[in-house]
Amino acid sequence: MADRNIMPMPSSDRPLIYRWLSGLFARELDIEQIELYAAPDGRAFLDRLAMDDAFLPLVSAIRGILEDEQALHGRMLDLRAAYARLFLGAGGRRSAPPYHSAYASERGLLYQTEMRQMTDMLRELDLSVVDTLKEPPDHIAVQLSILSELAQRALEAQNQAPPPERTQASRRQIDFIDTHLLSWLPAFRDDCAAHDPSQFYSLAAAAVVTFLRRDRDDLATAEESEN
Amino acid sequence: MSAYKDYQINRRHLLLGAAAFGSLGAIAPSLLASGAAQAAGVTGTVMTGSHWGVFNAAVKDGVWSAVSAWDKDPHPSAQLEGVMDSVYSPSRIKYPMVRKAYLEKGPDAPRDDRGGGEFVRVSWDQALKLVVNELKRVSTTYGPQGVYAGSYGWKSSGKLHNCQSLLRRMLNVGLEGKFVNSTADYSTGASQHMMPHVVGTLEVYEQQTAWPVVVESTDVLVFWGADPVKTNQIGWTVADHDAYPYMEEFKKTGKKVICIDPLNTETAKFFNAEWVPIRPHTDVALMLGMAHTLYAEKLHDEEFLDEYTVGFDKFLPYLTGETDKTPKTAEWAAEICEVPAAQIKELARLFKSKRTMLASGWSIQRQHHGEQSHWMLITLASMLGQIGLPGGGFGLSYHYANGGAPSANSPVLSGITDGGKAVKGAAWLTKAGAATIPVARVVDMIENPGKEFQFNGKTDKYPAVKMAYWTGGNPFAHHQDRNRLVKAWQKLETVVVQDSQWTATARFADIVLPATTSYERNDIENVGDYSIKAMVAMKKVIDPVFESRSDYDIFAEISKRLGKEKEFTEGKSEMDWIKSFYAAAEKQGKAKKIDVPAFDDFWKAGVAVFPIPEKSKKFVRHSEFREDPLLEPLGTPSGKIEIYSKNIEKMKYDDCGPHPMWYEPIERLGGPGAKYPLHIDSAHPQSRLHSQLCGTKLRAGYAVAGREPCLINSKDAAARGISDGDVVRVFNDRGQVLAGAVVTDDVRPSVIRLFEGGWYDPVEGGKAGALDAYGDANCLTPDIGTSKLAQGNCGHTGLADVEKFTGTLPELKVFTAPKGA
Repeated sequence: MADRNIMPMPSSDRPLIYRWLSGLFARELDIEQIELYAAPDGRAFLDRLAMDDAFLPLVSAIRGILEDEQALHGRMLDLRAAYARLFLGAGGRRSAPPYHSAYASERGLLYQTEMRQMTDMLRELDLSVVDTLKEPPDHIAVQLSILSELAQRALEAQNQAPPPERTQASRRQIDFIDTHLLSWLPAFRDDCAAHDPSQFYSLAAAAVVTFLRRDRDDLATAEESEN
Repeated sequence: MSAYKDYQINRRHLLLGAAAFGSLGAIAPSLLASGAAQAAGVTGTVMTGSHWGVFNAAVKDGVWSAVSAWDKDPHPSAQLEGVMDSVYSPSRIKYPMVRKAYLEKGPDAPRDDRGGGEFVRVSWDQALKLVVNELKRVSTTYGPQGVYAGSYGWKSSGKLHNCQSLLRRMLNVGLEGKFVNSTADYSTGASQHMMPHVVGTLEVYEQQTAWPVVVESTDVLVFWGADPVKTNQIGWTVADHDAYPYMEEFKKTGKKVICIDPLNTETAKFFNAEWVPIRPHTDVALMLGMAHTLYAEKLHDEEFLDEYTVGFDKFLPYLTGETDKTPKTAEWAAEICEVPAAQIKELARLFKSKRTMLASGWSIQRQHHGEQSHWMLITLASMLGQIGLPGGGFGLSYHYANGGAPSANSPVLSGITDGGKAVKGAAWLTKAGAATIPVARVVDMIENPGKEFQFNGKTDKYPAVKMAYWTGGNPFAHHQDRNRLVKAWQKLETVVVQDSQWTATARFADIVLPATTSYERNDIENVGDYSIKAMVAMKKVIDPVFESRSDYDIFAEISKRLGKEKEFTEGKSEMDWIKSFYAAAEKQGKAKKIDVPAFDDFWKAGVAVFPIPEKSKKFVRHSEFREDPLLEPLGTPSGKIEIYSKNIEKMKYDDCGPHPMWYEPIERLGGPGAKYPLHIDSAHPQSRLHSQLCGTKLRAGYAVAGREPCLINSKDAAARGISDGDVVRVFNDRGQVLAGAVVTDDVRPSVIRLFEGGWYDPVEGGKAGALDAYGDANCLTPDIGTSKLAQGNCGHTGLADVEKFTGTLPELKVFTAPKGA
């Protein structure tokens, strides 16, 4: 299987991949998600993800949860507790606040400059965060959703727009990844690794960073070849 | 291999397009909707109020970005900066949470991991269902004394969202008053029960002789265990800071200021005062030594004692040693308090020869036998004979909420009631119903249901509490003997905590409800506890963050689920209530002939300031009593100052006799059998309100090695090989904490100062005896009552030792500032 990741995720999959990664952090893993992972479409999705080294450890963890039905309830509760500990404040300092502001602001606060930047960006994209999510837009889940949207728009541009716009769409994603994601997610990943009692979220955070780095490089390579 | 590749290639397109999004919706959810959001919230400046004063919040698109003080605040507190931080801190409680084991097994869940940090998010509906079912179950199973709602602490300012009143209101209307309440507070537990016996009022919460009079008439200003420059930063309502300009004025006069304190305080430095570095816990001995000097040198004011006091004759044999063969001479006192006898005598003579104001803080009563301190201070002041004269006598609130700042001619706002009277035949009002305990005995109560306890002349039994509902307070900060509390807490079947912050108490809860801060709701409050110089519209600065809800909304919803919404809300919204309080103030205004603006004008302006009449600036405490003790008697049985109390005599307490006395505390420096060599001075912090704002940027200004600073005298530090900046372990038989050493001679030898209110951060959460990684002073203090009379807390009693910490440093986890932040 050494050549498994030779074949990169097709660019057409990027919006979905980012939306999936966003979903991992948007809320706790619930029974609806478990059932979907266990259904044929979900299994196929996991199979495809497993072909990529960036996702294999995380996919294995998800499969592990699905396999042991008897332990499922307890495992899910553990994951909810891990989510609360890491992302909802229950872990105090031993946590990983999932907000760009918390990592970037001098005082480690929420709702700072980075949140405003996301608000502005959403406005610019003519988008808004669904009202069921009571989180500021510099939450990792919202940021990954924005990237998903940028990827989707780039995809559409690729099919319809002239080359300069295609390059622009690509550059926009690279800038977004550099400025709003890779600027803090490695530190966030480290905090998850240090404090996650479940390991699930540390794997998820690691997958995000690994995939983002590769995707960013791929985008840059594609941009160069366009030029 | 080639077959596999084919398979891969065929699978490549499985994920394409909108169909894939649709079928995988739950695991790849759409968090974004098309169409930009409406500009969220206001942009501009919002004026509001807080314990730290009135301030302006700069808001952009509904996000709070900066704080600036009100231009009429004469001395804004540096702590204001931390207020905004507390709103946007990662330590906010964002969603309703339930302890994991509790969610699985309910009240039967094992409790030994309470405090271990295992929580699960639940919906508001589920959380409130759990709360309501538990309130019903506990009161049905265990009767009206099963639920403890004596919830105590510095709840946020505001007349409506007074979470403690609202909690009891909900229980009064929704649970027929079936709950256990508490009485008194941690600030003045000893004196607020003792003072009515001595002077007929609480005294600790009364207006003081006005500062302009002190500036004009006081020759010698004594701060006795008081640090007003530090503590007047905060106020129970909204701080006015009006005492500061007067302190400046006094300083300019160049008149003498003396600070009797184990520390060279902020106040001592401000006034360039004479520092009398007394041994802690020995103030009564020093006062007795002075009293003896006055008597021996015939300097005591016999006329005053005859006319305005009772019982000096019964106190005298004790003072002279006739009753116990121990004359309380200056020499005797010097042995105990380590103030040289000659200085004691000089001070006594000085106080007599000049107009002297004895301004005492509350620290000297927040200790074992604390009832004696202010009783003896007033006895000493009576011997000096200056009570009721301009600038003389004593004052017990110059350090609190700007006591002595002249009072305005203004209306006093009413607030939401706890609903007790609204409930016909409320069970808690009957003998069969719920009980009330002295607030600081809460752990004793949990540990000892049914045990008899004495309290201010009465005998009662502790109720068998099974559930606690805490709001607007943090007993895991303010209560003494943390490890005893941790253990006792495990006896409770259910703990509900409603707060805006993940306090240590919230971490030790089963159900956690996220409340808004006062900056996410509308309210109204007076400005200045004593000056009452204004009313401020506490306008909502920002919308509630995450899923937090206002205290009023939470309790209204619980009441609704208990079938009593209408009784709780009286059909009023938040603004209806605010307007009703204002209407009552307008009515008062009419009666007092004060010009009160119409509500809409007031709300638009944000503040209504009232004039301070000249008469207020001349107020002299107890002057009316002095002028005419028959027509203006004190509220004591004799109508006079009671140096000897027959009522206390009747109580026959072995730890609080009928006149002030020196009692050996359970432990003190130089005391019999003192096991540890250093006294812990656990005074109120400089840059926090008790534990509030410990999680904010302010901490960066004082933390040492990330931990609470521990001041230690250079001699004590040298003897232990401790240098400035070292992490030290402070320990005694009750607990152990880490702190950061500050080596300074601003603290006298054999005393360390560890401010109270440092956030408890046990290395092993939920385990009694665990090392506290941050520096919570109350891990080291004893949980005993001051005496059978007041049962106040003894937060300033306690000895310990210090050593340089050489082990592996445990990480701090109580603050959520992440790495690199």
